Amino acid sequence: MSLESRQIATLARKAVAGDRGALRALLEWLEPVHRGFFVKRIGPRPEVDDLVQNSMIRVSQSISELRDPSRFRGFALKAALFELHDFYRGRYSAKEIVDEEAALRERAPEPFDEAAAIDLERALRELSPHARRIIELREYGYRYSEIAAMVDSTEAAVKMQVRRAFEKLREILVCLCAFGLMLLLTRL
Amino acid sequence: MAAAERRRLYDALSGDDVHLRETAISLAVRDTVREEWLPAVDDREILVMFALESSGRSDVLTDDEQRRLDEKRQDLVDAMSEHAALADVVRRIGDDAREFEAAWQASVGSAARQDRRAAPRTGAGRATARAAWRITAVAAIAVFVAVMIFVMQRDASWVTQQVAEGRIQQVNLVDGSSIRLVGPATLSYRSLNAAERPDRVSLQGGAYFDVVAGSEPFVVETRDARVSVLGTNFGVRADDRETTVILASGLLGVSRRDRPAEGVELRPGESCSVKLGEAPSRGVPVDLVAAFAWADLFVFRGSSIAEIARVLSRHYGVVVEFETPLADQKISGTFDRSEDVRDILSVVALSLGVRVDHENDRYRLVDRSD
Repeated sequence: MSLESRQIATLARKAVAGDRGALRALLEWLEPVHRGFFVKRIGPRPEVDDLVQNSMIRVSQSISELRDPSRFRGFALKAALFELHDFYRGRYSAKEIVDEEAALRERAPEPFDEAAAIDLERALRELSPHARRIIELREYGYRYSEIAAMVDSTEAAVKMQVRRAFEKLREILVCLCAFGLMLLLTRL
Repeated sequence: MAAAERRRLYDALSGDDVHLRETAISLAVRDTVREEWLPAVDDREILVMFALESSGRSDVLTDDEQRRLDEKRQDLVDAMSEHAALADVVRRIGDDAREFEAAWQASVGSAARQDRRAAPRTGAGRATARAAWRITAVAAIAVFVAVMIFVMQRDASWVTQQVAEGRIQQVNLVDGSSIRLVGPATLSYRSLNAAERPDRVSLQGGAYFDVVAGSEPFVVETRDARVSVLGTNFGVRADDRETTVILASGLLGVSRRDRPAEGVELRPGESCSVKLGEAPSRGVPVDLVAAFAWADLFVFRGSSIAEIARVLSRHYGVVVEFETPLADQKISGTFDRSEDVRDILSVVALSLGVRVDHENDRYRLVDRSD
């Protein structure tokens, strides 16, 4: 163990024992580490400040639960990963985006009743595994460039796949609706 | 997307029935996907916990987190067998963790350097160090002030453009020339007259230049190299190790920055590099499409339709076909890789006087008369 790692472990040990000064020193040291990490993962976006702040709060609130202070690195890693994935999952969507999407939902025609929702599930299953994988990653909150890296493709190809997937879904839904209508007519 | 742009988009969508229906389908797909597989991961932290445990880091989980993971583990495994995307996310978390380790190591290293600088001194050594520090500080401040005054007087008209990593920015010059900065990059130039193109720019990072022919040469300087051109398309990448120059069309000269008279000439399709204090390497032929991938560009110069079809098919994951007589036709063009494949093919078709037929992921260039 090198000298600086020992210092970090010592600070962590003191912080776990309730030493507020040690915790403050630890957080001051950790802040740029987390900032650098978040910038590397999502780029220099305004949300980085929120991510850093919340990850620092996480560390300070749960430091007493750190079982082995020599494992502080893993503990800090966990806090950073929790925040990053909260970000992907949409926690940091600006309120106005949520409000605008809600307004759009209200104005948009209700395309599917309960039966149609089942059709949509069926339609989604009709997509190729690759297209479905991309749609799901998109819904998780990843950007196209990130999805491209995850599926070993290019950003343009991923965008193309998403558009094709939506086109195909529309086509399948139209077919399913027509089939349902025919069934209804034959019963009449 | 900026808030104002987003608002305009939503306003436009709200007033268009077709778009509203498209949006409704999109929202329904979103809801369906979320309903299908997000219940397994409704605990926002569960995938991170799972990934940490999978990589042997369960020691960082608290008792409560371990309990939550134990409760959800089977659901999670089941969901992962149904949805490949969840396995992707877990793998991605592994990448995130590695990135964090790198950031941590870098900081620990810098802490060590700070520790060494701050190591305690004793007795006479401490007094000598204090005196030396004061002298050095005064001298440094004096030099700094002098340099600042000089720079402020001399560089009042300097323009600096900085582009962050992962970003691309286009700089348009007054004569119609353009510079595509590929981040991380910094471009500086002196602009004495707003009506005239700067004749010399300084670059750190990567850029693709489209320089309109003028009466005066256009010069790009990096730490290591000097590139002199009249009118041409070329790319320059300058990092800490070397400067690489790739010529798409025209003619240009490359030299050491401090020895402009001793250089090499590049021909279209050639590349050379310059290391600090060394002469430029000889120009060697390169594949322009591969050589400009870093600029997120397709650079085709006298490329056959067969080659263009192969490149576009691979990049966009679609099938691009053409009628056999078109195979050997050659065209030149520069395209942004983020452009839609249909837009690129439309331009290609226009230049050949043919049309593009499109069905699903299959595009075919055919003679208009067919």
